[in-house]
Amino acid sequence: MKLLIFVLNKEEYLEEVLEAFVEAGIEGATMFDSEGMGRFLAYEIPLYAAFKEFMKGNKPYNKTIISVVKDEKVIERVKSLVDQIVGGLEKPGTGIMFTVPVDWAAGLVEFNEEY
Amino acid sequence: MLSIYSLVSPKCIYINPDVKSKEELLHMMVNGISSELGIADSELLYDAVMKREKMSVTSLGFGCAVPHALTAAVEKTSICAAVIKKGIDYTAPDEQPVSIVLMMIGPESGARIHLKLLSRIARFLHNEDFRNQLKQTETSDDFLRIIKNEEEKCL
Repeated sequence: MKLLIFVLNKEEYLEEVLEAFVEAGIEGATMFDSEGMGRFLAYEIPLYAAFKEFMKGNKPYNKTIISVVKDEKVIERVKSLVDQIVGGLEKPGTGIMFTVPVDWAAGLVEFNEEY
Repeated sequence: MLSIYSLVSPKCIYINPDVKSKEELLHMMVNGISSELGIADSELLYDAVMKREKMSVTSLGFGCAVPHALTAAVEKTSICAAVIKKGIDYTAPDEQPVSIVLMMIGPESGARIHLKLLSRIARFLHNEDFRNQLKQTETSDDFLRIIKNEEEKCL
């Protein structure tokens, strides 16, 4: 069981990304508005004002989606679909996806899926 | 990562310099860095620092300021420091006089390391004990020792 975390920098893809999550077998996720560290430093803390240009590869605001995934094959499917949507996560500024192990969870949606 | 300590020359530490204004202070510090780096035209550095100041004042609050600039006029990063016990008007947003100034000038190609060092300096200066130690320093050697001690905690 894994916690999938995806920071989507290109918010315009949110709808498609969520569709991909569902298509891949994720029926429950939590998402929240998030903000890049670079934007906050460069625009909100005067000491770093000179670094606006340096930080320009970073998107100011993004969406973070988290989901506990029991079936790890789902992650491969999500990764593949998201890559197609955002043009490849290896490209800077598209997003960051990673997982961390989960050793216990409660309240998860139960799946009755067949693939 | 480079240390602050390794980039400050004892000759570039001014304890209670006789300066009356922010501009005079920054001129003095820029001249110090220019001498240290062998830069003939210190005005290039001054202009770079003032250009950055015009963008937004580099005061952190708590009586501290970190004027800084990236410029093609230098090939390596250098840090200069000043302690003005009575404080100086730095046009700080909190309107408090500034008594600790750490100036950093680096090459345009060194933005990444500049940012890291700037963040380390800012983090140190957020520590009241550290600020008080610097404010009470009487010699450049003392100043350097305080910086070195603080940096050794991060190793």
